[in-house]
Amino acid sequence: MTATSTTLDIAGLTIHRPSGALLVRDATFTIGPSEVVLLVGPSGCGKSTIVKLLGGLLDTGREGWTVAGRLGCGGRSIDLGQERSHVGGIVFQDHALFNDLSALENLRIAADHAGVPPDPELVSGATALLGDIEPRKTIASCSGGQRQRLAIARTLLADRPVLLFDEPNSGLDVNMARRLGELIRDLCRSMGKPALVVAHHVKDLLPVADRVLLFDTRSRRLVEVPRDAEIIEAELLKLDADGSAAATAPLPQAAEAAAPARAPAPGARRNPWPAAIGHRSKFYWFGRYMAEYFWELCVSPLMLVYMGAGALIMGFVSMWFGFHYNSFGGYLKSLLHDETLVGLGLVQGTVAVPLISSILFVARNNAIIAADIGNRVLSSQFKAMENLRIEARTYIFSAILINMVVGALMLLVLSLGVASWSSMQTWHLQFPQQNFELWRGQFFQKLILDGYRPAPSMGWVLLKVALSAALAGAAAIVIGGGRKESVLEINSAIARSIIVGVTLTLLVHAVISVLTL
Amino acid sequence: MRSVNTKFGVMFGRPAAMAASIGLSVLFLAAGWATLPTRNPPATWVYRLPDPGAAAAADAIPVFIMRPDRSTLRAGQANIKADGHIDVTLYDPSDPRLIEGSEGLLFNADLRVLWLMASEEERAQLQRGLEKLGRGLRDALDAVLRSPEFNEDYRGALTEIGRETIEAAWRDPRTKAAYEELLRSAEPVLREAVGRDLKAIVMKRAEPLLWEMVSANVGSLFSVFHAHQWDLTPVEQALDAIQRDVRERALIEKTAQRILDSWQAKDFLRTFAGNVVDAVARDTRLKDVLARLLTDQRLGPYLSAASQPAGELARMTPQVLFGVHPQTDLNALAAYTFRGFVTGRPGPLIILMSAQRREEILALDRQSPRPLLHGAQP
Repeated sequence: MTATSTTLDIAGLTIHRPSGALLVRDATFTIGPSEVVLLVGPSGCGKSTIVKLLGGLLDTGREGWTVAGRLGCGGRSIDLGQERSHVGGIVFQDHALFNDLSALENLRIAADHAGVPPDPELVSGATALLGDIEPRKTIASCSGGQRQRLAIARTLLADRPVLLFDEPNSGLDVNMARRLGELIRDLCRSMGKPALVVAHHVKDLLPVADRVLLFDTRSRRLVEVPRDAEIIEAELLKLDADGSAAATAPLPQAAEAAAPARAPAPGARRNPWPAAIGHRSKFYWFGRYMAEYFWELCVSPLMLVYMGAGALIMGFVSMWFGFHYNSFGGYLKSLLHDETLVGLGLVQGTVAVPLISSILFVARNNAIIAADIGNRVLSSQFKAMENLRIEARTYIFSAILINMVVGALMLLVLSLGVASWSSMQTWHLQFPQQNFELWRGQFFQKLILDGYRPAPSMGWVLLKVALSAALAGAAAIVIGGGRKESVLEINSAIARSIIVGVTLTLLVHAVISVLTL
Repeated sequence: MRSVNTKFGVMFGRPAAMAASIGLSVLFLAAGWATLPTRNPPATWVYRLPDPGAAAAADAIPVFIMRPDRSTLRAGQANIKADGHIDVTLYDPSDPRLIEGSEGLLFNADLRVLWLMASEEERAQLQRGLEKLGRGLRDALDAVLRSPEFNEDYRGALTEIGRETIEAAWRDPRTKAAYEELLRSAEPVLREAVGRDLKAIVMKRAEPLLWEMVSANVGSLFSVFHAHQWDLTPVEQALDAIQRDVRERALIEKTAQRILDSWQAKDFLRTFAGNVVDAVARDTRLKDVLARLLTDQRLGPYLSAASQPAGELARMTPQVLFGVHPQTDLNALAAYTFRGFVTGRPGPLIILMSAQRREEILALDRQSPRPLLHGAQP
């Protein structure tokens, strides 16, 4: 592994919350090459905020966090009040794994966006803890400990000058936590990188720490304390006593403690990860996200059944009620047959089916998009993407918008086909002695010219379907991408996304239909 | 997003799900494809008109086939070419009904074709309804003409209009020409006297003649299925009356009698009476008076004789001619005819039938339907 001998220098760091409250005052510390520094403090004191700042994820500026101070790293000095720091690769507390990708793909995407392909030693080291994880496994099927290790390995593969660990040992059993600590230390030493480890349970990590910084919530300063577990515990107890009583409650142990992950015995079997990671271009990842959303938003079987059922019902309803329940329908259906059929064809093809198809499409997909994006926000996936330099907007937002437009048009064609078939069969129920060709000639009279050329009015139909899908998709992205603190907020975003999307769809269809009458 | 334990699965779901999606997509596309109209189908049969110059070229003429119960079914469409050839493209060339239904008749889409397609029983039923309505209208008109309301409010105005239209009819060049022809048939020395007295007698008889013509022809106004000819019986009667007047006045009796017996006199009176009716029809004031008359609620009770047969005919005609019933299948012929009737653009149509049916229809009407000759096969 290539050692870089980087030093992290923080000088005069002061952070104010968006509310104006002081978080930390004039913090100055240095983490040398290969040095592991623990940052300890009571829950909610702001340790993770410092990690986010160093990882370039803190929203500063107007209506955001206010930051002052300088950062020096690798010969470069950054005014933290003016620009973002991207020196740190973060291992998030809630892992922030991309749960639409497999375990292997989570590592691959990090490696592929690392700037330069990580060297084999780094890959080998980063994946050392993953021997018991099947690379093709999905994130959902991984245990808590496996996810933790995957998150660490992913961050290591991003190959940033500084390693930032946000409570990496939470959810790990004692053995695994110690092994993790050793891994962090070994990695830091072999790579010559400084590491800042935010920890709440310090005992497991203390043996590997070179120094310990205590977040003193009384003075709002970072103070160095001896590497002594008892002293640290005592200091923390003091701070907790001065702080909220809630902070003294023991942290819940993660479920992982009940089912600890077992690292493979050395030499038990060859680690398949390094060979599997390889390298892929950004086009691959764009195509990967395109395919994923194409499946979810456009062609999953349930989606097709749902759209097909809507079109089937639309075709039946328009034809049955068009002939039966207009004025004197029962009497005049014979006399006004041809005109009724031409009119029903026109209305069904240019107004009714495009509208119902768009509404069904948007309602379903806006729910999915808002839930998907909301989940990514809540689980810090976008932050992780940003920290890993993965272009979330290019990959995810573009894939969603492109698939919304393409899928809406594709499903419109399918819906028109199903609705036409349903209409034709319904017509035949009402006029059983007539030849289908009579229906064909009349129904498509104003939709298809010369038997095969779509009428110009179909261009407007495509426009309104595509535009409504694009606007609704954009609305779902915006709503889903808003701040999320809980699952309830995701639920609320889903509902809002459906309402806004369907309303936009109705408006677009109404306006274009009226303008092109 | 979906979670399946394979690379393929992570991206697209289970292979079974993919297969289901592909299957559903193909199914939907196939369903839609099956509904599209057949593109440029070849002509099934070719006919030609006996007199090619008499028909204008036309596209997409509906073709019907007549079934044994005389009902018709849309069976295809045809194109009339400028050279008189007609390409018929049938929806289903293998339809067994075509074996006995290959004789074609070209019609104009008006009510007459529906009348000809009706069964004898249906035509008799309609005929009875029309006659009943005609009688009812005559009775109603008589009652109206005798009513005090009419005599007080309308007779004066109508008489004035009648007088002026008679004068206008007298001044009509065609009347003048017929009158001159009549006078030329008289002895030159008697022409002046005959002309002077005869005009007074004719004008005296013209006014009642007008009312009698209206009364006699009111029934035939509603007969749309017959050639439109005025009932000239009142004219014959007026001619007799004029002759009586002439005799009573001893108007150079023998000469005058000979004049009035001549064809010139009969031609003159017919021309005059026809011009009077035409002048009445052109008079715009008459429309106003008639509008008031027809909307005058006081006259309603006098029309009761016509209201019942009118209602019966109104109910019966659509049912018989258009096949309008609440649960009926499509009567495509009636629908096409109705469209031509409503739009004022009745186009041609072709009905295929057996040779026997064709002869039956041509026996009813040799003028309107035009038989098609079989041409070379396409």
